[in-house]
Amino acid sequence: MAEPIVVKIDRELEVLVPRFLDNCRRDIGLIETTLAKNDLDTARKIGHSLKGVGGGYGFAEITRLGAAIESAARDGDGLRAAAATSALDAYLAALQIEYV
Amino acid sequence: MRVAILEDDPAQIDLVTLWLNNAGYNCHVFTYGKELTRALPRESFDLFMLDWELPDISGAEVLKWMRENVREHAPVIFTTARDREEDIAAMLHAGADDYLVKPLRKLELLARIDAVLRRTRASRPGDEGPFNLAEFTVDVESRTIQRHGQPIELTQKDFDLAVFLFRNLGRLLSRGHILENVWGRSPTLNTRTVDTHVSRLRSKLGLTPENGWRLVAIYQHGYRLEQIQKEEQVYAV
Repeated sequence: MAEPIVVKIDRELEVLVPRFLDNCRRDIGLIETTLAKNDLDTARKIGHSLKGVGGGYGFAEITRLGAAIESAARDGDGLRAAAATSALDAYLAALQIEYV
Repeated sequence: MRVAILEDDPAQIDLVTLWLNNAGYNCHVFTYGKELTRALPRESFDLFMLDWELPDISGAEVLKWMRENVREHAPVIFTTARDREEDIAAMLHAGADDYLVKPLRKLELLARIDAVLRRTRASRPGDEGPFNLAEFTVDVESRTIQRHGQPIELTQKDFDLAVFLFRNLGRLLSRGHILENVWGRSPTLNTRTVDTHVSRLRSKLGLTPENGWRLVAIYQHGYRLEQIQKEEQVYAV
C-alpha cells in the first residue's frame, strides 16, 4: 500500500473538498475513456480544467498533473497523457487530508 | 459589494463564491457569456470577474459588449489558466482592469479585488469619514445627514439608501443592487421596497430638479441620482 500523502487544507474549504475530490476521480474516469477513443482534445480540456483549479483548493499536485495531462494531450501524446492520469489516480488514492 | 462572476467550471465557482461570500461580497454567477449580457441591461454590479474561455462566447467578447453597451464602467478582472505573455497582454488590451492566472490564490484574489475597487472608488465620496456633497453633509459614523446645516430625520434604511446613492452619484443602479447593498440578500424582500424608500427619500432630502437634483427611475432597471447643475466639487469635511 502506498505511503499516505498528507495535505494540509484550509478549514474554510472543508465544506467543498469532498465534492471536489469526487469530481476529480470522475474526471480521471472521463480522461481514461476519452484517451481510449483517442479523443485527445477532450482529455486536454479536462487536464486544463484540473490545472486551473487544483492549486486553489490546496492541491498543487492536482494542478501539476492536470498541466501534464493538458500538455501531453496537446502534443498528441496519448501515452504520456495516460501516464499523467495514472499518476493523478495514485495521488488521489494516497491522499490524506488534514484541515487546519 | 455586488460581484458578477462569469465562470463555467463548477469547482471554480464553488471556490470563488465561498471566498468572496465569506469576505462579505454578494456574488452572482453566470455560466454563459450571453446569460450575463442579457442580464446587464437590468442589473448593475460593482465588479466583474470574467473567465476567458466560456462555452458560448469568450470573456473578451463579453467585455467588448460591455464597453460598447453599458454606460457605467465597472471594473473587470479576468481569470484564466492561460499564462502566456501574449494572452495576458491580450486581456489587458481588451480592457481588463486586472487579471489573475489560475489556480487562484485566495489572499491575492481578495487583495486585487480590493485594489481595483479602491481605484474605482477614488473618485467617489465617503469611504473615509464624513463628506460634503453640494448642500449635504454626510457623517457615516454618527449616521447623520444635514442639508444646508440642518439635520434631516431619517430612518436607518433611509440613511443607508441615501449614503449608497450619494456614493454612487451619476451611476445607474439596479433595484436588485440597491436592495442587496441596503437591505442585504433576503428572499422575502420585494424590489418594490426600493421604490417606496426612494420616493420617500426624494421627498425628505429634497432631491428635486428645483434643488439641482434628479433621482431618476429608469424603466425596468433601477435608479440614478444626478446633479443637474454644474458638478460641485466633492470634498471631505
